[in-house]
Amino acid sequence: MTTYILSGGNDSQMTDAQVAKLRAAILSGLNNEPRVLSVSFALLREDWEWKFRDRRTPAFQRLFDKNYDARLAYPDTFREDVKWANVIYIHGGDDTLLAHYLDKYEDLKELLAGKIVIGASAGADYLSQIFWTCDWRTVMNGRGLVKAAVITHFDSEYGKDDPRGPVDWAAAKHELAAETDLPIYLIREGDIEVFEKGE
Amino acid sequence: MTTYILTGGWDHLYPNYLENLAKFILQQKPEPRILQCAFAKPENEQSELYNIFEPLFYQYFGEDVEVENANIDHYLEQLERADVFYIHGGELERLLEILPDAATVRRLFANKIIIGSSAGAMYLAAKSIGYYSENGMNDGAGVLPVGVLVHYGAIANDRGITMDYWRKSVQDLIDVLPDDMLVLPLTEGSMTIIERAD
Repeated sequence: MTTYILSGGNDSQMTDAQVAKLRAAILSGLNNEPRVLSVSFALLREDWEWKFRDRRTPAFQRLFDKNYDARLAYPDTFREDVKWANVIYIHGGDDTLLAHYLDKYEDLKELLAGKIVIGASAGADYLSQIFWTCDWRTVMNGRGLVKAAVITHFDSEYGKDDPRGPVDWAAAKHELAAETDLPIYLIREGDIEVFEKGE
Repeated sequence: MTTYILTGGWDHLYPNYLENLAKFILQQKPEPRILQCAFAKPENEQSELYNIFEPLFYQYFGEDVEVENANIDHYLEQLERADVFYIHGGELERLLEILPDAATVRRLFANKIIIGSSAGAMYLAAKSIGYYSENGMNDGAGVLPVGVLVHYGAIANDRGITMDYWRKSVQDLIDVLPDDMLVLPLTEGSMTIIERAD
């Protein structure tokens, strides 16, 4: 069984209740202490290490206290990194950048089998079948590991200072619905959706 | 578009959930007309449930909300007027007996916000497993192509409801559902928002 947890993004602003829900969703599927693989492929390369130190590590400590181990994923060791981990945390960033790295793994579904796989924002988009992205403001295809359509950051102020103007969430729903018959999961910032899949 | 909201149950015990629910709904419908449905409860227990939730709706949605209690003889007309249909928990069998089939229901629900709590979520789903292990797996109306576990993670050791029970139940659902159908573990106080074209 593989557990996919899709997060609406802005994880660092999660309330205590939201963190508790994410913690429960992760720990209920594990028999051992979490070994977290932090996947930052959606970010610019120069941001991986400092964000892991300054943002991810405090977030993991908030989730698991001291009872976990974590490492940063790298493209050239990704297979071994995934094998080591029991929790794969795919952070947000740019959808196309993330796909650039992860599309290279044709057997990604098999590689992730039996793990807890968390996708936040662009990470959630990538795991889904189809999504509406508030960076590109259009519909794109995901990797399809979770057969769902998703809109992350739903109803948030994401991009409120964007010269393109605020996101029109109602239009986003309709644009996505026009492209798919799949149920559309509206995931708000800080919220998570848990999906269980057979291997 | 129809919006479905699924939740794990015991909603009145989760102020955070009610707050989030109100915030979400008020963004979509500023002065919503809520029709609450307690058909999953035996008739002599329905008013008790309505009386628990009515003040909560006013508390969290504000004074501009209209709240109506579903009456088994008139609920179709009531539903036509409503923006939000709130299906409370209880016994799934009662909902399956009283509410129409999935195709009819989808037409009736079009453009509304439909909330399914506990047995209400089980009704909307294709298959489900609940908190009462003796009931095993259940068929729902299949309004939504998902399998759900309600009260997921709630523990009752004396009745054998442990985390092992829930993990096994997840696997049981995965085993019987088609590959493209998702299994959603719904915890109490959570909110899964699903949008569907009518």
